[in-house]
This record gives sequence, C-alpha cells and structure tokens, in this order.
Amino acid sequence: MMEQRGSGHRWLERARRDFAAAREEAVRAQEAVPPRERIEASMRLGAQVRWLMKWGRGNDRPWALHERARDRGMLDD
Amino acid sequence: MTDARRPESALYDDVLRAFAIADIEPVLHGGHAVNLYCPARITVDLDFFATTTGEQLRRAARLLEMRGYAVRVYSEPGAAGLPVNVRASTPDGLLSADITRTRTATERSTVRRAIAIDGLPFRVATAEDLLVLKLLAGRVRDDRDVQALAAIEGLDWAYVEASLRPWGAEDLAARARARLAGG
Repeated sequence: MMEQRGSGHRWLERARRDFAAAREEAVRAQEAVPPRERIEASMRLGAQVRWLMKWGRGNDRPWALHERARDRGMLDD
Repeated sequence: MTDARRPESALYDDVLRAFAIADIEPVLHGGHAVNLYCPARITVDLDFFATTTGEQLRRAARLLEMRGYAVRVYSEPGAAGLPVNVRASTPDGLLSADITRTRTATERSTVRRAIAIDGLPFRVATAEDLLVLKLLAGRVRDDRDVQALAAIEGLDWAYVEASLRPWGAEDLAARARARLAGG
C-alpha cells in the first residue's frame, strides 16, 4: 500500500509540473497573438460554447453599478 | 450582415464604425479587457464604457440597427430619459457588444486612465480599474478575474483601495490581497 501511495504521489507531482509547463506555454502562445485576434478568438469560441451549452447572456444588467451608486447618492444624474 | 466576414469580426468592425460616426470614444472593460492582462478565459461579449451623451448613444444604436443587429437601448427615468446602455447583438443572439454611458466617478476614472494597446483602435481599462469593477460587481463568475488581476505584479493597491472607499468596499481589496498571500 505504501508503495502504491508513493508512486501515486510521484505521478501527481509530475502531472502538476506538466500542467504548469503547458500553462506557461499557453500563456506565451497567447501573448504572441495580436490583441484583436485574441479578442475575436475568445468571442468565436465563446459563441460556440454559448450555442452548445445554451448559455445565457454574460451580463444582462451592465448598469448594475449605477443602481448601487444611486443607493449611495453617487450617481451623476 | 450578409457579408463574408466572420460574425465576430463583423460585430467588432461595425460597432467601432458606429461609435466613430457617433463621435463616441469607447474604452474596453469586462472580460476581454481582463484577457489582455491575464491568461485568457472564454468570454463572449464586448463591453465598453464611454463618457458620452445620450444622443450619441442613440445615434450609434440607429446605425447598428441599420446594419442588421438586434439593438436594445436601456433608459431609466433617473437618467432624464437618456440611454444608459446600448446592446447590439447578432440576430442569432450569440454575440453582443455593450456600451454603457459613464455615470459614476469610478467609471469616469476608468475612462480617463484607460491605456492604449498596440493593435487596438480603442483604449483599454487599466488592470487596477478592472479589479475595482470586478470587486464591486462581486458575482461568482467575477471571482476568477479578481484572482487573476490581483496576482499581477506591481499592481497599484493604494489606488484600488482608494477607488473602493467611496463605495464602502475597501475591505474587498484587503480580502483579495489576503487570499493572494494565502496562495
């Protein structure tokens, strides 16, 4: 049992290192993409996920901060 | 929208063209802005702020409607009947762009401090202002953005705390920092 637990631990450590390396690589790849393409890629992927998963709107009340501001008397108008 | 462009490219171009014609200077905030500072997450809708008049927003809304987008103009009595937000969505409802008129000091500060990024024709909210907005929004889905933004090295925490103080929410910054320190 101890042997199995030990090898399991090593496997986990290796998976964690591999994941960290893959994440770093992904971040470097992302940074190499021009910002407009990065925005559009996320929109494209997000639209597919929204269609597949029947996601609703990301933020249906973008003015929510204004409601909080009104309650505190911090609204301009 | 019967052209051959991808829908996301068309929305990006059409929204910016409408803003330009309506003399609106947009500032990007929201998930796409966060993605420019942090490892990307999937986000769909484009979110902009602008310090602008209601009439300019109406004009942009009309132009986008003429381009075939489904446009929602949100007004409220407290804003003297002026539009507060315009949302343009593709007819299938899968992609949207929002522009919200600044009505608070926090939003005005976000617009004033926004920075230019090479390759983008609009300015982008700073990491500090995005963190303030995300902390104030406080939704579950903002949590990942808060953690990613808080981890940025050299963040101006004094500004973040000062921006949250008028909202009685400076404790949110302290909590975000404590979580960061706790790993």
